[in-house]
Amino acid sequence: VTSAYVDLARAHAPILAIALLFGGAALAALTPGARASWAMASFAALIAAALGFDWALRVLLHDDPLAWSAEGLSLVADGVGVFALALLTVTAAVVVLGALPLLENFTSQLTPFACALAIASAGGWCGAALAQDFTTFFLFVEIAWMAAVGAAALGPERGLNAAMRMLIAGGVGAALLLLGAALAARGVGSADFAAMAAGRMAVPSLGAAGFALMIVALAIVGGAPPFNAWVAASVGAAGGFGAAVVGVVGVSGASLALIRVAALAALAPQISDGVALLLVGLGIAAVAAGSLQAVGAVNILRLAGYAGVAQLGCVLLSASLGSPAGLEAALLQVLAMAGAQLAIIAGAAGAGGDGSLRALNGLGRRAPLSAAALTAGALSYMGAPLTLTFLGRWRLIEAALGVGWWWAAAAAIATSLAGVFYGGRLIERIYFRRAVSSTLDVEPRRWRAYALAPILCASIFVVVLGLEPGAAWRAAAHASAAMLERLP
Amino acid sequence: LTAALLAPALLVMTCGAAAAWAARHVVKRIAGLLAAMTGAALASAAIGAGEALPLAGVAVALAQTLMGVALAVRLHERYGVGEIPDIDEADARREPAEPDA
Repeated sequence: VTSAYVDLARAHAPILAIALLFGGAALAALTPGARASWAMASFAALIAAALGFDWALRVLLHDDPLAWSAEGLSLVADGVGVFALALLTVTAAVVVLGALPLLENFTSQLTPFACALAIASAGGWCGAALAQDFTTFFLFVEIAWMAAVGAAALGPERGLNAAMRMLIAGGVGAALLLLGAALAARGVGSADFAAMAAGRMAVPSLGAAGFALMIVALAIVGGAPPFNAWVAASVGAAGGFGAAVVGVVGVSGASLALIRVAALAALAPQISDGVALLLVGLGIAAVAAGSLQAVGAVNILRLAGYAGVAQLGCVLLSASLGSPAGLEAALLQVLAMAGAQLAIIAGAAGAGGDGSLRALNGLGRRAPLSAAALTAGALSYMGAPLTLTFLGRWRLIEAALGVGWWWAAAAAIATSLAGVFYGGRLIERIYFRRAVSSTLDVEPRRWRAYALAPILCASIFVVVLGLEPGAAWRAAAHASAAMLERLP
Repeated sequence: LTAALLAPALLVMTCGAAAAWAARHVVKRIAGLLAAMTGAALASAAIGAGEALPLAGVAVALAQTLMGVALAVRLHERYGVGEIPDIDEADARREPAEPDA
């Protein structure tokens, strides 16, 4: 009987995973007591992660059929959706499971809402990754974004201001997304994504305008310039937990939604060139602005936020190629970005202190695991060999040079060079500086290291997945091939 | 007829977005946001993309406004002001400075 139930759950894994995230969020919010609600949210997120990961394993690595659609809900599976569900559910589970030290400054009344909003945000992005039509896509994106705004608002001190900035930026993005979705649906002649997959485009000019607006809207919530003023405020000031929800779950979800929209546009030859041009412009701007801002950052979380913008730029450049190789590079880089951001945010929490770079001085001796995570994250920013980012960038450069886009390859290399500067600064402080007296006053507490261990280990694992990248590579390749199989 | 409906809707959306982005007071920004979303919902209805999308837009506009009002109240309680530059200035004062060491 048990195996029959397990088989039933596996057969409906995507919808069950999303239902678990939203149901778990509701139960966590209603559960009194910080620890109990955290346990509830962790349990729901872990089951959802197991289902999402198992589904991706079966479809992307063991060639199970992709055909799946939810009864009564406008959800459907495609290559990016399968990859995204696994990545986002596992990320949400890791964030919530290791959240206790990040929630240290939260009152017991706020913790249930923080846990609930974190997994609701992941649920929203999962829904967007599996949405079958423009309306469902719009609704899930907005649910995810509003949940992230709520999580940022609960953060300490400057969280409220950060949340207000996010609300305004995301609100303007929502208006653009709504208008873009309407134009795209009218241009395609159907609100169903299946019409795009079939390469149909009734009114190409409307379709192109719609997809362009949707991409700009998603770029805003992903943190791409010139509308990224909220990034520093939210990732840098909303505390460790807010940074993890917004900077890891949120940015990864927005990146995957962007990749999905870009891939759908690539299927329509009438609009694909225009959309690619927009993605290139946004990508170059993100690489330049993110790298420059990260170089000047003096706060660890803020540096992570800006570095994430630079990584997003490479993802956009990869997606703009509109080819299976480009999509594969984009998916690998989102996975690497999630790992790197988790490593830096959790490492910063493990380091303690006021969040300034000074708190990292001499950390290699004081907190070796946090130092290792920060080092892995910094190496990932650089795109150092044997990290997953290296693999993603290599694939981007290969695909870009294959179509003669040498400047896209140059942008990827420039991102890595800037990463050497700001990532190197972190490593230099961790291992080559002595802790100053004021840093020793904020000696990291031992329980923090134990409680953060799941996040730290998971992030290090993702970053060094580049040592044996076979499974991740095959999964990304299969996902991109399945997504673009009707490419003319 | 579509153009006659679409043009004012887009005007409302653009003015709302500009106000949301540039207004100094939190409440004005939220009002701008509501106008932008209302304009976008009206525009999506005028485009004729189906009835679900404009309704979804109205629901999201309502949710955003409620959240914005809640944030505005909490911001006023914490900072004692509603002007964004004043709030940013107060935050900047709390930002720890990076010493040389």
